[in-house]
Amino acid sequence: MTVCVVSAEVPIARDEALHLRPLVELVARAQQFKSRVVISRGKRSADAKEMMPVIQLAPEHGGVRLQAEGEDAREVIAALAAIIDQAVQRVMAEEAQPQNGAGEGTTRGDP
Amino acid sequence: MRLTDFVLEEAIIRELRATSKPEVLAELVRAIIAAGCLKEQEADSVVTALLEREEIGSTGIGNGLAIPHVKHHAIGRLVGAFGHSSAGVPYDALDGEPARVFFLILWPVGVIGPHLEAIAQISKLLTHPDVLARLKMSSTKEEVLALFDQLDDSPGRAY
Repeated sequence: MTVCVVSAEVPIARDEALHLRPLVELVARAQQFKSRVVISRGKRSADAKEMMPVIQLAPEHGGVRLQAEGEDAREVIAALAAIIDQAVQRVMAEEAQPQNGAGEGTTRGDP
Repeated sequence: MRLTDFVLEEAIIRELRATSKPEVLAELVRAIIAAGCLKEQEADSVVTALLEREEIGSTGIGNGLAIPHVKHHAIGRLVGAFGHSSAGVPYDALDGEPARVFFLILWPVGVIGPHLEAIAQISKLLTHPDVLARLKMSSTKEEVLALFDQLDDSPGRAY
């Protein structure tokens, strides 16, 4: 068994992208892997498999740093980075289509 | 941010009548309306928006706790409602368990940030199971508010 340590910086173009739902998805996904994963944002770091500390990252700003250690470290980093990227893409897509009632709720009247 | 900064005292429901997710959301939205923070005619629009967001991903985060939330043009400031169901409500939660404690959060379109702090504050319940358990058993609004204060005054997990 090869134990890898893999880290990645994931930029977040929209701070609000990392809200409750993607973070819940991220925790659920992280729990499917064997590697230990730490996610850091701003001044906070959290075990990516623990719900409460991960949710505490939502009000922080900027990108996240992922660090995984274990036999599937590379795979878990890729999976979590994809969830974050998708969340950012979703927000940007909603900004482009403000009449679709998307966003983290209805965007009717969204500036 | 403290829970009482946004959870409306008039929108604390000790025992929900709802038995399904749509009913829970509607009952909590009605509580916000009764508290004077949303117009009656916007109820359907808000509930629909909440349900649309639930389809993207459930806000049932486990341990019987659910935090449905949505931004809406008809809301003037960050507001919240609290509800409890002794029987539990099927909620597609992460752990598959029924949800029993609900915090509904609504905030204005175009405002980013405060709702994330609100959700982070509520999520502290996951690491304070004693407070969560007592919320499920509390019988009066005063008990609920006292437990909110206890959670607000408790330290977050050090990490």
